Amino acid sequence: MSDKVEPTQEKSALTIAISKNTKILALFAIACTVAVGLVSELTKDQIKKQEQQYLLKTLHSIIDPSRYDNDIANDCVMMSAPELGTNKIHTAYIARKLGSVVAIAMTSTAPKGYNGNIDFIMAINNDGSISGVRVLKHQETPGLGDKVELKKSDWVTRFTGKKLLSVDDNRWAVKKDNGMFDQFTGATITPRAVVAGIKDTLNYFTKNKDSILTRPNACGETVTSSSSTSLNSSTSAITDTNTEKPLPISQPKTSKKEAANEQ
Amino acid sequence: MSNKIAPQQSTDTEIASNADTQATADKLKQEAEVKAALKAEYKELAIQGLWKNNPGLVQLLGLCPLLAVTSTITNALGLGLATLLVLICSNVTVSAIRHWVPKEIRIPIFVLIIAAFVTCVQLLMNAYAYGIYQSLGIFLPLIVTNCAIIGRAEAYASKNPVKQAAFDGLMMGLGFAIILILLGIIREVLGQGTLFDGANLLFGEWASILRIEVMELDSQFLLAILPPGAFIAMGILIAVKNAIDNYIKNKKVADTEQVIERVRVNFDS
Repeated sequence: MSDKVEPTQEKSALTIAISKNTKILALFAIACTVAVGLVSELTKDQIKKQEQQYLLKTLHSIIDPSRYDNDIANDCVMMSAPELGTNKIHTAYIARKLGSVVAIAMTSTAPKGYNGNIDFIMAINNDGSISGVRVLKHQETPGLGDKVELKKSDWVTRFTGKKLLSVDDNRWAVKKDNGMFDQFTGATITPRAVVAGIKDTLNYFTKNKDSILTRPNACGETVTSSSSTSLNSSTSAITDTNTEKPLPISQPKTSKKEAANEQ
Repeated sequence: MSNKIAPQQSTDTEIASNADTQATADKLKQEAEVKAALKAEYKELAIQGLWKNNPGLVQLLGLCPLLAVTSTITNALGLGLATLLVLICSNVTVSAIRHWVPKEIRIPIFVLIIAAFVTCVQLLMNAYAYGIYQSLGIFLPLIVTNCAIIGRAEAYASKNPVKQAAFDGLMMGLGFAIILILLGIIREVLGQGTLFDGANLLFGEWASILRIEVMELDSQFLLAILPPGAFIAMGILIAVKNAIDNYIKNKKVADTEQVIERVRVNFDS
């Protein structure tokens, strides 16, 4: 009713209210953004330090620190191949002593876990033997499949020192499949997936060893400039914008959606 | 002694001082009343937050993080502290700006404020408690969606002064954190037979000594670790709370007489 009587006035009152509210909302949005930006700026360095520390801790657990003398966290290459489980970009960190390669720590994925992908990092010595394996992220059943974590069981340490004799080495399987690795009581699928994933990664490495090691360093610039982040930044190695960040060793949680896409 | 001597010397001053004392007494009385009212309010807030209106047990808000991360005490503590911090900060801010926020757009503004605080807490945890940041994973940013926080902002903080709002946030947050920790204790002891496993992720390396082996388990009790265990434990906690409430009510009824008995019937029906 009132619309008919004084449509213009009503409208203008409404517009005034709307514009006023918009302004207030915008002010709050700006204030909040500034606050978050400030905190982000203040914590940036600390976060990077933490990530580096975490990465180094993981790397040290699979490659003994005395074996190399380079800045391993800043010496890496990016790679992507179906053998590595997913089409994500994976990172490999290279350990050198006096300039020559000692070992390489590759992040990779075992796609056939009981509950989705199992992300792991494995260090391969120059002679093709395994220096160490750690599972970074998984969604296996707690109490059964999660024994692939070092925290729960020492199972992953049994890979240390093992070698692939041929591309189709049939010892690389769980005992149930006549291989040399134990399965867990009540969980065969998880260890089977991890064993297969490690075997594929190892095969990929032996096949492409030369090309991997000669690739340009993708992490190097972090040493000098603070603006580029070391591990998660999209460096030149990534061309496809659709692909995720290089398998982030420092942030082992990837989104579920991503996992679902790959299944 | 001096009071007794004074009136004998001069009555004038006595009257004046009497009037003075009267005024100050009134003032004091008023202040005391205000203080008592405040105290009562704070007490009521504490009771509401910790027991009567506990966000976890009674309001059943924020169930998703509550059930998902309570597999160990450390995780529960981490999320509890983060929620507590966000709740206090958001309550204080919402209360401080309550006169400038038009009614129509208050919800988006509250959400903005809460989201900003959650992001800040997330960044801070990433920087200073990296381990716990990783084990909380997606549930840290999900604090934004915890209805307990926007619920308090809307129901209390937007209508009350800053101090009370902060206290309300503290109590509600504590109530929520206590439930998280209780669930964490139950599930960790039953599931892994330990307490404070991984406390070093939250507090630094020294905290590794906090780890207690409560009982030796050959294999983990899966149900307690998995989400169904969380639901069952939560149900038991709520049942215990209701049982205690009923017990208190019945006791009150027994203390007073017949008249109350009718009330009791009313309550039951």
